[in-house]
Amino acid sequence: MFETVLLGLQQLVDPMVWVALVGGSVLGIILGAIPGIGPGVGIALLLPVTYTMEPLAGITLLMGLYAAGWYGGAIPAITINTPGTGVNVLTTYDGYPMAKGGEPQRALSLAYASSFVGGVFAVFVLMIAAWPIASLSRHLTSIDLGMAALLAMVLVVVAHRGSELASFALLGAGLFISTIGLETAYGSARYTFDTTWMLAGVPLIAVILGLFALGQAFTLIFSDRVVDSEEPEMKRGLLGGFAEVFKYPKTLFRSAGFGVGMGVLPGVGEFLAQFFAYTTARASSKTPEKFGKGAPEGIIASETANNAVPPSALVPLLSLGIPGESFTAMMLTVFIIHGVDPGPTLFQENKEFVSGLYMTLLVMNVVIVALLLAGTRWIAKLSSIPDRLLGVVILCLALIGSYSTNYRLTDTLIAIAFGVLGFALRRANIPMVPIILGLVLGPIMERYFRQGIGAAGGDLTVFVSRPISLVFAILIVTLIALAIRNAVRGGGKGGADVSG
Amino acid sequence: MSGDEPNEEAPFKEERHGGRYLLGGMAAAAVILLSLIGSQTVRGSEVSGRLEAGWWAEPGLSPAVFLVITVITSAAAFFAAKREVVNWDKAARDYGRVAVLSGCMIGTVFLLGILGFALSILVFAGVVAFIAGYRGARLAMIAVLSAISMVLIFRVGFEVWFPRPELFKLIDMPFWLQGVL
Repeated sequence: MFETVLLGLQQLVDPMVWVALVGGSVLGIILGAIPGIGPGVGIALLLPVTYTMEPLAGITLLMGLYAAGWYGGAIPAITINTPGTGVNVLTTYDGYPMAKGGEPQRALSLAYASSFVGGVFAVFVLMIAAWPIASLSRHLTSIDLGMAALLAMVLVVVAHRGSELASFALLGAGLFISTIGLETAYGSARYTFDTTWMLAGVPLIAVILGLFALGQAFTLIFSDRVVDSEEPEMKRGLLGGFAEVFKYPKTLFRSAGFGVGMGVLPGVGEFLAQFFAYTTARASSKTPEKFGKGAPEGIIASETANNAVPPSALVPLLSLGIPGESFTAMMLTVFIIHGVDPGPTLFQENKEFVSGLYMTLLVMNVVIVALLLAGTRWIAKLSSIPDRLLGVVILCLALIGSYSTNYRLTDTLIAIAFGVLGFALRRANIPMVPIILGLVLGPIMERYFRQGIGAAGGDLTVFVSRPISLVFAILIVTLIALAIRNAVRGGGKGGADVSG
Repeated sequence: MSGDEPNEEAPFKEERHGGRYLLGGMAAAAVILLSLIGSQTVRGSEVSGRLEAGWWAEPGLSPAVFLVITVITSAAAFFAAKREVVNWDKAARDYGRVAVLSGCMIGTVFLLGILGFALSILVFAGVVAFIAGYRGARLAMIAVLSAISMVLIFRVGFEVWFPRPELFKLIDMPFWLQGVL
């Protein structure tokens, strides 16, 4: 552990890492504090930029956006009762009443302190858990790894309760799109319609920019959201929460545990983490009647849980090379571009990178809190930026991002096509994550299954002949059966809740 | 947990618009793509100079499996979904606006080769701000500030290269300025 810390600190000497760390944190806070944007748009827009950076700086930039977005999202949730991001929704329950009751600085301070504890706790879990899991994964065969990728996708689909069928459909679409272009076994073209530009496949950046940035810009540009200008008066004293959170140690560390547990599981993420943490905190509280009226435990539960998720979401990515949701799927592309292979070899061949990542994640939480303590008054005003203006800016950024990656009109056209799809999916409230996971995990799963089945000479019992793949197979079949049952039950209630 | 009210609702319960038809469209598109599998993929045995690897490596296998999944699940989602009343006029208006914005983006890509980066973004931001409902001084300010910030971010900050536009071939301009604009 000491060696890891020392090696990690050495990586922090690189000024580019600091630029990425501070830049990502600032942008993340800003994007999180503006309702309706969130870190996803920022990650999509900055993804092309990270390809030109060293892997550590690139991942640090994206992680800064990801982690700081949840911190920043608490500000409008508390000050104007509008969550900056979807994962801060429960913070409004107690944060806003506390702010309205004349204690906005206490609410913000509690949110920052809880987020800090959740974030740091999760980094330590990552440091402890990733390497042993990666070591175990060395004993996995191609079939096991392919099944793990499939299980991750199925978990993501099942996590979208009420939209399982639509999520499966989008996963299938994402998987299909990932097969377009030249395949590796015979070097033949698939679904290229005799065009040369499709031989390299559908560019992932254009898809991500389209779905996340353009789709959001199309939505924002015609938004009628009225900005609530009634902001509570902000006074000094944002440090009090750092002592107060420890008055509720059970809520604090149980919520961090929920965040870590949900973060490690693919597809579960911040939403369920904060809901579990909040409801458990309320159920075990001596004063449950205060929840929803400004209870400090409510803020602590939701903010600790959702900020514990980003570092824990890196556990399956670093140890198995399998992303559990869209943000880590985007990060996987940075690994791929730089030829860094996540999984067991990462910890042997790229010790500096892994140690550096741990340290930047720890320092990142300190930097984010410092930025928030210094700039909350100004950051709070960001939530009053009109949606339409944000739409114009995002549209400009997405246009340049989609074209400047390869200087091809076709990339912009693909981004536009996926932007329209993203716009339609948002309107229909259908999740977009499965399509991205399908796109990223599709080639990985196909490669592993081809290798595994080929090594077994085409014998399909290879899927159930080893205990690990057998367990994965049972889990996959059970989850799919449960999803079908849920969908059928939904249909029996007078119309399935399948986002359609 | 006994005192808790069951929370079955999604965190963001929103009004749904046209998702059923979107899934129906996906199912139809997947059927069409599946019908093209013979022409859009080749059989392994037909690829010259390669040893046949086995059924598991057939180029058409994965696309076929994934398309079948898409067809079945999107069709099931379509038929199982709640009947919905779509305001077609509103949908046409919204998607019409998106189509106009998309057209502006495509036009700007062509403009980049004629007017250069800064002017193209100035025009694009101005048109988009107009479509978004801004007028007069606000519109001009948004367009100018957007263009300046994009130049600072992409041309000065990240030094993103763009081909030399036609306009700059007609104007005598310092090389460094061409690089920025």
